[in-house]
Amino acid sequence: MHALANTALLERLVSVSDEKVDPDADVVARFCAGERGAFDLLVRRHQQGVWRLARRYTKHDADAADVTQLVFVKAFNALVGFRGAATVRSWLYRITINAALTWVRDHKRELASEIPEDALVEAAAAETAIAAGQEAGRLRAAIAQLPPKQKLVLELRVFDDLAFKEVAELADCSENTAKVNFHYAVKRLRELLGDREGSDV
Amino acid sequence: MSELDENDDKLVAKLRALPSEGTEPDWNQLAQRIHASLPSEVHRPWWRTLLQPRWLAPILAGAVGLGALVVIETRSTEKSVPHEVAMLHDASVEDSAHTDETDDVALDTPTSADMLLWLDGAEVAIDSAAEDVLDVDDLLLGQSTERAEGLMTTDDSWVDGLDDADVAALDQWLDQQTAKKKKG
Repeated sequence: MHALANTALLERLVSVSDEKVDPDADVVARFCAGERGAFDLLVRRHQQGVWRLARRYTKHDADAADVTQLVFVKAFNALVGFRGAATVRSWLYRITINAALTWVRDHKRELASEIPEDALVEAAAAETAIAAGQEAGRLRAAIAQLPPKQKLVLELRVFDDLAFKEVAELADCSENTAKVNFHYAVKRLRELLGDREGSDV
Repeated sequence: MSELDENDDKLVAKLRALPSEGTEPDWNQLAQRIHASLPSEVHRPWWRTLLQPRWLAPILAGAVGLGALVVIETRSTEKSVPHEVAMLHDASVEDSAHTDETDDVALDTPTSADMLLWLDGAEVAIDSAAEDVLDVDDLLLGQSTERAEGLMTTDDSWVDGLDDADVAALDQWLDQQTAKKKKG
């Protein structure tokens, strides 16, 4: 009897802990009340994550910085209309993905004529990198070969450390679909890496 | 779908430990650059100003007052409509009663506003506005009218041909016309 009650209590605790309060909510409230400086705090909290996310799309450091700046300018103008349906972080990341995709589309021709900074890591050099045993390059090359949805979900979950709920919002799918995609992405990565990861580690 | 096993978890941990791509910028410098590109003041839409507590009470009071006015106005309009209809109904009854008293010949005259007449073989609708001009009663007098119409000639010799009944009918018609003109 006690065991059942304890289980129910634990389940309730887990469900409560899953619904975390947005840590940026108070900053947004201060900004909406007219406090301009509150936005600087948001920039300092999230610029690193925004830059990294943008960098994965643009493949250039400077371009990622430009996209980051653009993202925060857009966020500044739109934050008063932010309703709090998602966390501020996932809202910023949504803006980042859209801005980065637009940037890539607008600069497609320039990108095609240039050699990307991490060209060696990309698909063509993947096998070389794997053969050379470069650990980081080998892993990144394997990630680059994942289907787009699985790649997006894996990167958001692993590199951006987002909850599955936030991943689902950004990937335009349900939370369960995001979990399934993540699961298949990991399994696929192990296949691509020759299933050596577990034994290597 | 099976759960991730231990090897999967190790792979995920390895991925998490990967250094970020590219060379990260100077974060302070980037923050300053972003700060410089933003407006100096927060742009707030006008309606957000109205949502402040100090404005809520007057706005709510105004909305309630306006709503009450609309309700009162709607109810007074609903009440006034049957009264007007009743007045119109009474007036039409009075008119028909008046016609019965003064004009026995016009009993068969249609009471609707529009009347149909055959003119030159065509059906013509004439509304009540044209009654004064056309003197519709004269056209709808029936047998008496037909007799009266016989008088509308330039030759006066027809008078000699009238019998007593015709003269009586003519006298009656003239009396009616005179009475109508006096009233009109």
